[in-house]
Amino acid sequence: MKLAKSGMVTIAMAASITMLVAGCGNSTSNNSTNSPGGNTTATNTSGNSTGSSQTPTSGGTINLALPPQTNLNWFLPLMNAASDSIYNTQLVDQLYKPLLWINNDYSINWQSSIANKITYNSAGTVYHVFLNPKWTWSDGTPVTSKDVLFTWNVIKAASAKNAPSPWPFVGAGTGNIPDGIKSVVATSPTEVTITLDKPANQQWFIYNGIIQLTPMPAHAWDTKPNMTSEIKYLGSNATNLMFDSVVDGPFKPVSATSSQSWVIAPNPNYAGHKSLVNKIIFTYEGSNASELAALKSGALNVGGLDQSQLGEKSALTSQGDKITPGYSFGIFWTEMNMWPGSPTKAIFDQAYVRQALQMGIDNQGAAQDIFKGYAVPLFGPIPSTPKTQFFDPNLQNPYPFDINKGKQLLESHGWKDVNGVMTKGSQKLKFTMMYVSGITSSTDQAELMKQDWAQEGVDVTLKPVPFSTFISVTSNPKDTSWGLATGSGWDYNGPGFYPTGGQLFATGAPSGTGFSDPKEDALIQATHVPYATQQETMQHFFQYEDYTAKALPFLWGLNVASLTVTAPTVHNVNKYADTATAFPQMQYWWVSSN
Amino acid sequence: MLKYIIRRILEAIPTLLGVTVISFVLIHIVPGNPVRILLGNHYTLERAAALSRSLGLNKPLWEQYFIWLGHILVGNFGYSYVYNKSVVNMILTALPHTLAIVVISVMAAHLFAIFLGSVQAYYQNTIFDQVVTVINYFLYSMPSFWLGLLLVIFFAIDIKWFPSGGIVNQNAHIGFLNWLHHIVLPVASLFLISVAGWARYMRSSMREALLQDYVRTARMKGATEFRVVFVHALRNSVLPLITMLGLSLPVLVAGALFVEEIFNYPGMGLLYWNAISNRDYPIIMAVTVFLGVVTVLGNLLADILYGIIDPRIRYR
Repeated sequence: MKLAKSGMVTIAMAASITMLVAGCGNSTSNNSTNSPGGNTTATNTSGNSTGSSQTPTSGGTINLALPPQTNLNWFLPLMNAASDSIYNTQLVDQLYKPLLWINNDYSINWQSSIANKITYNSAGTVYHVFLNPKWTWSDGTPVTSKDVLFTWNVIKAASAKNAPSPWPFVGAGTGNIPDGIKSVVATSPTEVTITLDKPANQQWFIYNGIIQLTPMPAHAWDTKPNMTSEIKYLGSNATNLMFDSVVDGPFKPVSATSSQSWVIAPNPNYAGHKSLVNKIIFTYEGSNASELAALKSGALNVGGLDQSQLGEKSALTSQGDKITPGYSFGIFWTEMNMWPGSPTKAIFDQAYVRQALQMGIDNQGAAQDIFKGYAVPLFGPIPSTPKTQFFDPNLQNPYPFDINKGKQLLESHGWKDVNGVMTKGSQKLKFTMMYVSGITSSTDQAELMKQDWAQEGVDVTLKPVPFSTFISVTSNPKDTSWGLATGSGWDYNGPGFYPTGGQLFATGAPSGTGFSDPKEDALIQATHVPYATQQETMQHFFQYEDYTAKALPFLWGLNVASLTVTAPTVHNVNKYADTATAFPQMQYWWVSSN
Repeated sequence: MLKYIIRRILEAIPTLLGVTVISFVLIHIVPGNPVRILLGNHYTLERAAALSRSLGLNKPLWEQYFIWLGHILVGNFGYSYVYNKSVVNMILTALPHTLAIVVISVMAAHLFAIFLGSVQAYYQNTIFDQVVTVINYFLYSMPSFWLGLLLVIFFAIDIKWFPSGGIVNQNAHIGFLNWLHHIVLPVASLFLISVAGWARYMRSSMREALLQDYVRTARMKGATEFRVVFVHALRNSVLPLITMLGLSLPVLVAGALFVEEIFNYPGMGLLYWNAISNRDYPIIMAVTVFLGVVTVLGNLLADILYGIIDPRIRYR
């Protein structure tokens, strides 16, 4: 999971709104069936999709912009917490096939996964991961269970609290990794059996635990006498792209220069859909302005357009560029300081106050006026866009924008308007709200909230701060200098992908802001236990989702689109952007001569 | 002379120490915790404590400072928090890029400013002088990043003569010409802004020189106007510019920050910019020390050059 900043440019990949499909590539769907003996089997069906009418041609270069001031600095499939960024993962995913690839709808894409099947028992304690025998390393060696086992052994060693720097492994503590796992055994060259200490919800463990076991080339990297030396060796080479000489992904490394570019070229021995381009260059950009200039001059053919630069849209479209919005599978919010010791805790602990505040936020208006329609309002812990199985189709916005209703709600609980500020005894609805400085849209959003809340009798003083300050202050339970903070959020994209809110909404959640509710805790816990059927799993998930939407541990905001700019000569970028996870399948991108 | 240089360097040590103390304290009290930035949403108290320990940030500030000082005295500037790479190697990679654009632009700007300022002084109060003065004021007051953007819009986007940024075209054969093609606009930005200020200094200095007795004497001896201006008057009038050359070195290195950011030019400026954004203390401190040393050496260089050009100056 990656912290996201509202309005921040994410990488220039966006999911195509109209998923035009065509003769290249497959779309897959995920089916779960109950098999005899209490085992459930997850398999896939593949269907041809339709899309670009042009026939792909080989050659050409993709010049892809990284977001401003983003350096790539880690090139192993297993990352430490400080390096686990979307952008490092984007590159690494082109070199190393994940055990499980997540589609844009958050189903598993078995075509693009090393695994082709996972079976499990009804107790949720034993899992059999079957590897697709087609996968090979770039040197011709098959990808086998030995490689998964090597990954597991590295994870175990690198997850230790005293693991040598730059470890520990970021996934430690997510999805039962590593402490909840009793054993990982290579049952055959193409099968790995994982046994848990305790039962777990099968989908939860697949999406949060098993997904982390990206195979690494044991025959190339497992060279040290013990695991301590091994993880030191891997850690010391993690920042060196050229260390990745044996890969199983569609690309292999070519060169890396900090603050300049990272270049990859097709892996001729890739067992899946081979890339047709000559190379892909991940280009460093110092600022939004320099990225825009490079897009206009043609130096870049894939990049991002910041929301604040929408005025430049016609300059790009007039030269044939296409601008496409894409939505991450994430949530964005306004935080309320409910940490013990905060003077605002007693106020925000009242559910009706949170509800009144939510009713005073005009997300729909902000989406239209500030983001020109390139944003989708949120009203719960799961976004409605992109469409996934995790969004409850029956969930309606529990607190639509209605200032009068919000004000009445407060008055019905004894609050009175005194000189424009709602007052109850010694308490006043008067708060300092931090927002992220330097982004026009963030400022506009904060101003709009302030104005609307003022009509409810909520007096907000705005405090712009840099993002680094913002996250430092809001994550410090002892900092009482703020009451509200808007401009951050959460993407459900690794190391765990299953979107339950344990890290966000549970009591004492590491990324929470002090919210505590026993029922919320129980519902989150209920999503972690095994169920006999997928239907039952989803039933509990929706209960958690619906309750969280209404409980308002955070005030729901907007899922703002990232805007991808693609030159007319570049194809399939949006179709294979997978913006929900932000991890695109670049092997399908191609370049035409005109 | 050698004694003088050694004494000046020794005198600079307390200054540099003061700079490091102030910088160290300032960057640590500025809001924005590097541990929090590094961990992002993976932040937990346990992880933060472990990372703080491994980076040495859990110690009292004074202790952190003395540990850092001890390390730099033996040439160890540590490892970048963000890149896990040696800070010295990162600086050695970035420095040549910055030196290239700074040295080229400084030399070119100085030579051109000397010529332009001299000509302006000679033709003072003519239309030519007034037009050049207006242009100089315009360039002098223009922020470097804005000028950079204008150059990008015109030369990279509109007429597409030069790349809008970077240092190498991955699609071209990497060579000297490729590199030269990429540095034209960053150098032009620094050149235009520097030349405007220096030409103004040169003009006023040359105006004074042209009124001196020795110039009148040279003319009476029958020297050509060219010789009068560019030999007799120039040697004295160029003195303020020589001083400014030394003093402007650190300013130029720091000023390259904006230009490098605009042009994605991977030099010291961009390195410093990114380090500040990420609170990458080891890089911030190393670059600060570097700038401090450049400032001291710049001053020293100015004084030495002054003495070489003006024989009346004696070092004690």
